[in-house]
Amino acid sequence: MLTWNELGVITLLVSSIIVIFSLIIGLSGISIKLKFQLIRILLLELLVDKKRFLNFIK
Amino acid sequence: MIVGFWEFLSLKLLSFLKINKNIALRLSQQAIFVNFFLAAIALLILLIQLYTNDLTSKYVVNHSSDSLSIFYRLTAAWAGSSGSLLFWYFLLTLFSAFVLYKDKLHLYNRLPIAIIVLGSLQFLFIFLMLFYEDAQPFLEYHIPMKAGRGLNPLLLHWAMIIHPPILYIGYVSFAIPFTIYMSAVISGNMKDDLMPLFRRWTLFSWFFLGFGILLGSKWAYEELGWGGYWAWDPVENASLMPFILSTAFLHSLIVQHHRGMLKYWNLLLITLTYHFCLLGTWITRSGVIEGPHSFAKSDIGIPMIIFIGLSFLYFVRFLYFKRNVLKPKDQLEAVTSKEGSILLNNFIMLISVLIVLIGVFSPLIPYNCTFENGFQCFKTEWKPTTYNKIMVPIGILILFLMGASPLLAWRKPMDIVFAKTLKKPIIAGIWGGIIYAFVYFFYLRPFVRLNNSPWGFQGIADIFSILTVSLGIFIVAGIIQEYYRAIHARKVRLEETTTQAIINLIHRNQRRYGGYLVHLAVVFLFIGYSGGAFKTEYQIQFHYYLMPIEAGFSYVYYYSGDKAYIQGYTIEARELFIRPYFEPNADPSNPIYMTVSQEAHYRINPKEFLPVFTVSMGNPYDFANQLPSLAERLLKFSTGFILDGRMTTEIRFYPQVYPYTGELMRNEMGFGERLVTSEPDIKSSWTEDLYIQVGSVFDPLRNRTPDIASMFEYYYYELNRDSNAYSMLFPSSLVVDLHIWINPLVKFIWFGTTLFFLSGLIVLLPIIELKNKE
Repeated sequence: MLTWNELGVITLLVSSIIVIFSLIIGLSGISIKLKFQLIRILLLELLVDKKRFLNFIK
Repeated sequence: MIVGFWEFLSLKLLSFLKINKNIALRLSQQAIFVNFFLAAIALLILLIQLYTNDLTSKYVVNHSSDSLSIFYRLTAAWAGSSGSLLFWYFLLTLFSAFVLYKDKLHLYNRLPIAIIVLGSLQFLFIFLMLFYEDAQPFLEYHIPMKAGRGLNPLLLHWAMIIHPPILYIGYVSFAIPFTIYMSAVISGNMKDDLMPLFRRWTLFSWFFLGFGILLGSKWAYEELGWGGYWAWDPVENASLMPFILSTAFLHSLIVQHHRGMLKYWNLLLITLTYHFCLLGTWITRSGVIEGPHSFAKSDIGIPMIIFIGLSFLYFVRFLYFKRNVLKPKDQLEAVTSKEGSILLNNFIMLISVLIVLIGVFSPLIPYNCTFENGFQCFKTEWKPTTYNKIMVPIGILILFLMGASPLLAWRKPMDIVFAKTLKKPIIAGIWGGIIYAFVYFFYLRPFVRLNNSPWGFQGIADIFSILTVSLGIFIVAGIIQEYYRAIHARKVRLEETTTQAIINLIHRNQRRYGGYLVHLAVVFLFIGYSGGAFKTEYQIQFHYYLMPIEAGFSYVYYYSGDKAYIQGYTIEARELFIRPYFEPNADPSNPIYMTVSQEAHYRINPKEFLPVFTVSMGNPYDFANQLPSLAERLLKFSTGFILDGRMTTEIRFYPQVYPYTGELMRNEMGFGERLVTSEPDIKSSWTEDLYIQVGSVFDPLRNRTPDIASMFEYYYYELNRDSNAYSMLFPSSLVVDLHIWINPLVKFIWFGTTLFFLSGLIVLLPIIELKNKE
């Protein structure tokens, strides 16, 4: 027989799996182009593409 | 590479599940709904544990006790850090599910981004709750404990029960307007169809956050016993910052709606607002900055601040990457136009947030440098006076712009509309200010004996106080003028009666005219705050004598009869009881449930008022505590007037329980350890509040401060309230402090709070919008 604490932990565990599942398959709804864009922003494009950034500031 | 891996993972998962992309999107929405039910179940489990007082649960043991009433037991769910995080998570899943259910069609091609943003936020909280001990609500004791520690006694107050959930609703729901705005920006679909959605959700979050903050003030005023309602405490500041930012966002959304401008600015504001909400949670829970109602130091501080930092950096970069989507449709044509004044007010609000932020982190920044003994820098925490010194002038500037903005016109400069809209309110404000200055200097000011000015010179505080009232009158006059014009127009054009015109006016344009009422509430709040300029504080000592009691009485009885005279009041100290206080379900035979109360009674009346006293008969405690009649209570509630000037204040000594043994925690001397709380009494009228709080006791014969709570516990349980021991044990005389604050105009703050709530509801409730749609 599970205790309330164990039941609570299991609920949160399942919840975490559901969140990850939702994130992974939710991402499939985005186009490849947008995915690239999201990742480029994540990879600090500002540092990579210095020229564009400087032009923008000017 | 990351995109490749990501694509690979999702495609593999989709092919494994044998579904296409459309179904996958629907499935991920379903997952958000399922997650809401799971979070609800988790919260329900915690509530069941609290209800049944499950002493295997670490959370229950540390935040509840079987002596508490059911109501307080259940609300203990948000009394601790981990429980409140679970509640936070529940609210996040609830709002996520709601927005996906109700506004799915509005989101359209922004939906996948919305799911990702919401999912990422949910992931943070579930991650913390699973991997960090201080955030885990379901930790277990292998051996059941014998008793719970009970709820923090400061939380045993009606406002504290509803204040946290209301504030949390405000904090958490900001995830939704942030998500909606972000999904629109990232997907590049910034069409105006999302405008009502932004506005509705922002209003919702803003309303709850604002009302939660005001309720917190009420709690601080009635429970903390220090005579104030706002101390610039880090936790208070943590909620104030997103509130100011969201107020700015709400107003610049109006500009975006009418002029298609400020999209760039709005993206910055909503990103800041949401991240300041997260920062507020971090300030409260990390334990890095201490305050009277922050949680203890915790291990979630570092992962949380990393997440907040990374998330902010990530989202704020869209300002650069999506600059094409955020281009304005129109340009600012006049600085003194409505949109110009809103933008200026926005800037001032942003500056005020930065100032508060510096103040919050002042204990961590070594900014106070000196060249004495070599160059050295010290960390100096900002005191309330430092905040007031800077924030009061800023507040007054905001107040001025708040009054002027609604009276200005779109696109046109001020001079075009001056005579039509601004002239009369300005004249009213100036005259109001002059009259108030007379009242202030000849009626209110003579009472002020202490210099409370944060600027070191009372004259500046006087000027600001008069300016606040003058601006308040300017705003009220402006609102009346706007209402009058619109009502008059309806009466002429549509031949409506005045009542019909008022109802229809608010009915047809609830956001605009409801918004004016919110401005009116803010005026009342500011007038209340301005009273702080002539607040006075006193400390009086009264001499008490131990009185004989009859056998069987379960209290210690002292009496004074001394009188003091301050600021037009006669204060007579009367009974002082040391008595037991038990929660409704407590077992009086067990000392772990006994709270010791030091209860002092006073008769406080205006100097010239001579109350008729009744003669004390029978039990002095019953006599002192006889309940006022309904008429007397109504009189106190409506006018602040108390028929015979009765006021009662307490200090309570709450027992600290050691859960393992189920006994009272004791120090080396064997005395029980107790948490001390204050129970002030307030006599409130429209001009001022008389706020009293009994202080510590002193034994003048033995020249020491007696541990009155431990003595009473010994007398109550060990000596069985023996009448011989009574006079042997307790000092024959005591000197007891009484702290008195005379706080002018505070009632305006609570009136403003009520008005904020009601007018906020008018702006928020979608009844009219629905009718218009029909």
